[in-house]
Amino acid sequence: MTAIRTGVSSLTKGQFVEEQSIQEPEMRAQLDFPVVGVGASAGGLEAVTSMFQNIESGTGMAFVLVMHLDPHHESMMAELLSSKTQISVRQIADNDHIEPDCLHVIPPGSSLRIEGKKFRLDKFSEPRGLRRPIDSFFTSLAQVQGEKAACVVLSGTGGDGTAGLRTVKEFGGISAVQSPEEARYDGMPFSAIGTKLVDFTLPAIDIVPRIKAFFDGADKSRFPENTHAAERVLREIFSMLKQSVGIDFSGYKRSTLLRRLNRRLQLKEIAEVENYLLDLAKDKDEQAALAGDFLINVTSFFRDRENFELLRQAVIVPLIEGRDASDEVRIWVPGCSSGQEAYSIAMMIDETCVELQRRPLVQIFATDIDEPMIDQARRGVYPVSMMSEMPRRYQEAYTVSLDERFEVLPRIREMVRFSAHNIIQDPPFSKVDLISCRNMLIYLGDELQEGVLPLFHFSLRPGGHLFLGTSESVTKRKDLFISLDQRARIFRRNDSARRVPLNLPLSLSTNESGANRGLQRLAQEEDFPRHSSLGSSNSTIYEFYAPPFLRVTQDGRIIDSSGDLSLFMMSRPGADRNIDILAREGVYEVIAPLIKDASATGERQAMKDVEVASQFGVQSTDIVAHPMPDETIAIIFLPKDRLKPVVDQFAVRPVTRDRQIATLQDDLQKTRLQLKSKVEEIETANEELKSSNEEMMSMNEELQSANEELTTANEELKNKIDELTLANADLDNFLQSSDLAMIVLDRGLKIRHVTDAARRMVPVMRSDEGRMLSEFNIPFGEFDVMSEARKVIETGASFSITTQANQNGQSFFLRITPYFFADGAVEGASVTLINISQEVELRQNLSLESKKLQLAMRAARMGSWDTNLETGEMEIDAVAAQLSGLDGAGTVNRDAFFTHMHTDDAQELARLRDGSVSVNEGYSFQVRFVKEGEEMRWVQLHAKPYTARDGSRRVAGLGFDVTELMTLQRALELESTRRELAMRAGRMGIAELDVESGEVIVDEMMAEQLALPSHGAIPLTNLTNSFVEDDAQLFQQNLQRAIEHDEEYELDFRIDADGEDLRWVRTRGLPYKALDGRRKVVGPTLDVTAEKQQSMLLDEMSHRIKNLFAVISGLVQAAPKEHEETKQMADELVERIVSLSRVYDLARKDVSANGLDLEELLKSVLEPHRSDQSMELHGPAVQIDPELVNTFTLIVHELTTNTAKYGAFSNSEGSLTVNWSVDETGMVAIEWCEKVPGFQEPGPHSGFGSLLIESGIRQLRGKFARSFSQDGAIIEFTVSAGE
Amino acid sequence: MSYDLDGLSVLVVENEFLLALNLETIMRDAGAGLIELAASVADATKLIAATKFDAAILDIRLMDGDSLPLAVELIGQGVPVVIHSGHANLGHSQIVPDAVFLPKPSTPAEIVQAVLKARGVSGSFELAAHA
Repeated sequence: MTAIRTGVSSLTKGQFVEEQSIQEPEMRAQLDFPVVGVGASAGGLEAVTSMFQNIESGTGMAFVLVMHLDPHHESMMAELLSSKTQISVRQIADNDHIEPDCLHVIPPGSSLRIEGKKFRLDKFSEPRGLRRPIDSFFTSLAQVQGEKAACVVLSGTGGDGTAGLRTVKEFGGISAVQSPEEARYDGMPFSAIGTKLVDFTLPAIDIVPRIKAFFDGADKSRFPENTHAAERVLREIFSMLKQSVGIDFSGYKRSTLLRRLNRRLQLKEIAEVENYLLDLAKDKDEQAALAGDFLINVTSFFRDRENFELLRQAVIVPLIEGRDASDEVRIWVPGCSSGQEAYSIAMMIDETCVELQRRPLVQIFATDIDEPMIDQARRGVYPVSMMSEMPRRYQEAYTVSLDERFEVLPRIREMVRFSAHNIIQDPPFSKVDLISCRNMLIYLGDELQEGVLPLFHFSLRPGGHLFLGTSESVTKRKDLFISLDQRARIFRRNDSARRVPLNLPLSLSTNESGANRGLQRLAQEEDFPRHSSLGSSNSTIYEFYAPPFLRVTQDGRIIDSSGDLSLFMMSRPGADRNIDILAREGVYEVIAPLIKDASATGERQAMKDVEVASQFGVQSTDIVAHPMPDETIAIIFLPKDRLKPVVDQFAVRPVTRDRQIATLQDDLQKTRLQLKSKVEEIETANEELKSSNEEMMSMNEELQSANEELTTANEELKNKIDELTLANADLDNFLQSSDLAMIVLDRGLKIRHVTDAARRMVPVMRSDEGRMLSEFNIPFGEFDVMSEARKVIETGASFSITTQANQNGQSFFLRITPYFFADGAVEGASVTLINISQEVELRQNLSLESKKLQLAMRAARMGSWDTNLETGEMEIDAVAAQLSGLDGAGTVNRDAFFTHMHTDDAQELARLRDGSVSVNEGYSFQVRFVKEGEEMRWVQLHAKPYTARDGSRRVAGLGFDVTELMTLQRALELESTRRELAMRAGRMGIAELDVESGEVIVDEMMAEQLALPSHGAIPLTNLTNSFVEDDAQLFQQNLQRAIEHDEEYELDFRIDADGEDLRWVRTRGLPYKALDGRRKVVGPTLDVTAEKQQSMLLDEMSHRIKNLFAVISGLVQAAPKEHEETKQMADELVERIVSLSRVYDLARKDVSANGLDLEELLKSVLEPHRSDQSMELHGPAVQIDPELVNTFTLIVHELTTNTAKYGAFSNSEGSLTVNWSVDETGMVAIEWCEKVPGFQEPGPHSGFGSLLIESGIRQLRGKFARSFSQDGAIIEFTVSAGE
Repeated sequence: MSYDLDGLSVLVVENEFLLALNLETIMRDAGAGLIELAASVADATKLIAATKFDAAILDIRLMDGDSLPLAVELIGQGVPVVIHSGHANLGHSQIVPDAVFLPKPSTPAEIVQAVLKARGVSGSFELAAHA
């Protein structure tokens, strides 16, 4: 709130104001980095968290958090916040340094300020409830850091921070507020926004980046270096603002304006001033905001309190003392802003009036150019935070609390008349006793200051005083004022000074402002030097020399006024106020009809001798209502006679009527006394009520503040609980995931907690927590948990044990540790259980397995030993001892083991062992042990070097008796040798085929026979390389068939090797399954070339013989046969030759036999003659002697011929049965029985056939008989089969 | 002789002159028309190329090799073949399974019957006819 009060057009062109004597509030920061003050209260933790959660280091700013904390409790705020932001968080201690990228947090119970670049903590001077830690810190921050200060107001109730924000702004810092919609409690944000000085209203999370952006851009100058160019820019802005806002800033100090403009650009994040100008031209709001920034000035109650006190003593007290009730005291407060200064003076005056028991008519005119400010000032309502600006006694006497605000008492308000007034262009007030104009001149340039001071001089009545701000002075016009108190800046009017001609207004405008009321004229530099305006002069004349008048609308609204209307109206009417409210008693009743008549008739109306009563007395007056052309009515008061003061009435009253009057006076006196005592009582009661009220107020405030603190503490606790819940969940999860079985006991051995894993091991349920552990049957076998737990609790020393298996076979590893509380005291014990049943079982199984192994080794007569290579010591078991011929198990020297070993083997073994150990490999060997009186024994040894756990190099070995095996092996080898010799002797080769691999292992002999280049393993396909091609095929077929059907084969084949004669080889093959399951074919070969040659010779001979038979029979047939008889004889001869040839063939096939089988012979002769007749041959096997075959054949042939001609084979229905038997002498009796349907007995004939039969039988020393029947013939004969 | 070899053309391959003569006589007596004699594989090959015979009687062992390829060729032409040999074996019958095998020596009746059999004519004959 603040305001401007000037508008001057007093600058010479291009000239900058450089005023050193008057200091501006903006100053250089003490710390070279920005410091951001953050104020928060209820709901603040959430807001602060949100504000800082994304902030990383490197902001280059320091942050200071001020909260309302319960002074009686440690704050966890710093701790809570440090987990939520990346920048470091620290609770402030007295004298701490301020560090960038750190969030400093206020400790409870202290007020914080900055002094000499350090934090200082003070005890609160105010009672609880009136403490304003945020305001006080912001104020301190502003004073120390100036432009490099930022303040942030976050969630909270109340209005703390608002006043501090104002200070920060005044000193050139920036301000940000959390959006009230976002804030959990919007009291503080709304209160701050109410100042209209907030630069950013943002969600908490966006605040820091925005502030950072602001400060990052802070060092950049956005203005041309050239002062002329800068001036051009400013002038353009001034022109714009004059048009829109109606305020002329051209007379303001350039340095201030440039800085504020620069800051504005920074806030808007605009880099070039030219761009800003474009924006500004378009944006009315921005124009207003810029004007607001230009106007920033801070005012407060009793600012520079001691100066006010001095003013009171030096000026106000004498002033009141010198006036009585009928006198008027006129005070002017130009640039009153939101009214604090004016009210401060009003309070002091009222206080002085009460003290001096004088009450002159006091009129305080408070004016400002800024109308919104005037409205605010008129309300007289301020945030409660400002109350502390007042001395205590004024607070109590002149304010009424309203929640977060307080109100100035109506009595005081009535003393002050606020109105909009531009000191530069509006006429000044006159006959003023005191002008209080603090901290306004500092914003004005030299020219304006020079213009304003004479104006003040003019306004003050002789002996009047001027009260300025601490950095202001009258040096520009020392001639006009005399310093009364240099320090307090109190000056007295120099009455002897030459009266300066006043040029009013100080600035003139050729352009009428559109935005403001017409009476506000704006200055332009071109208007300089000033000249007067007739209109304004007139109004001054009216004001001072014309009768007072009003201008009202037809409905009674006052438009303007002139002159001193105080006798007729209640206060000086401003604009837009109604006459019916303001008119004093007796005036309104007269005026209302006058206005009505005047407006109705359009003519002047008047009322004479109207008596108007006021507190000053009764004034008789004529009242004229004059209708104006613009339909308003001017009401002119024409006072008549003198004011009749109230006292005058008493004074002139005649003193008569003696007694009655005296009595009445007595009564009156009594009544007065009574009244006085009543009044005193009432006053006392009133005082009591007031003080109760004060107490209530302060209690209320205390409660309010306690509530704030509790809310904050509650938030802290809630957050702490959240963290604890999280930690608890972490712990739960840890216990769950580690599956740790744990029972927590308290000091009394009651169960406090049992983890899930533990519940699976012991019969304790969650609901059992709180019961004694001893109530449960804890399955630890014999182990007494209770007493051990008690011991652990007493001694504080841990204990662990592996328990014996219980009846369920479970074993536990059990650890009892003391349970420490945070203070280190043992508050119980935790029992940790690890079920090691499996491990115990494993261990048992291992030892069982080990025993089994020992038994097995003993059963297998396997001995074992273990040698330490370093010491040469050897542990041997009983079996090993026995094998090596030693006495028994135990530890022996390694050399002892070799005592009974065969010397060769011992050397070889030692060599093998040393070699293997050096490369860390196992080895195996067979050794012989020879002990006198015992058979030699073969022992198979296996050994492997290893490194024992103690690091020593050792060899573990085992051995077993292989004597029997060796014996068997020897026997087998012998057998094999023998067989080989036999094969070699028989010149037989042998080969073995592996069916799956197709590989043949061929021995030397076979390789020679098959003309193979080498013996050994060859592919099967190479085996037949030297075979005659057809034979190779045949061999493959035979082999294949043999393998498929698992049958033996035999084959002769030819070898056609280069440079050799064709050779015949015979082979046999036998498929079998080897021990390892592989299918193999084994077979010998034998060279049979000699046999084959012999057989071929025989074949050739036979061929030739048969050809001879054929040739002979051909000759017989070919011979000419002239007679049928001859022909028949030839035919018969041929047939006999054919029969003989066939039987010869039979005989040749079995040369080795002792003769020819009878049945074969019969078949051979009979078959060619049989077609489909039946034939049966029965008899024992009989061999016909080769010498007798031809004879026998001829006999059978002759019989067959007859059979074919006449007998069984002559008819398709015939049948032949031949039976034979042999007696002990070797005679064969044959019965030849033919059956033919319709058999014709042949006539007796004795041809050559008969002759052959007869002589044949005879030669065979047999008999022949033949008989015929109807059915056929039966022939019986005997023959000798041979020797 | 009343066997139905009437008008048939018969090839006789036999290197033994007397036997060839005898076979020719038997065939003629059985009523064959054209009867050609060959004593070697080469001769026989020429004759086959020139004439399509109704039947052929082959000895296996000839002066210039054995006659089995000839038999295969003839059977391939659809000519019935009788193998007339003293030492035919199982191997031979595998090479020409469709030929009729006849041992040597055989009676004239057996020879004629073998030819008939090779031509697919079945029937009996009687020795009595010759008696």
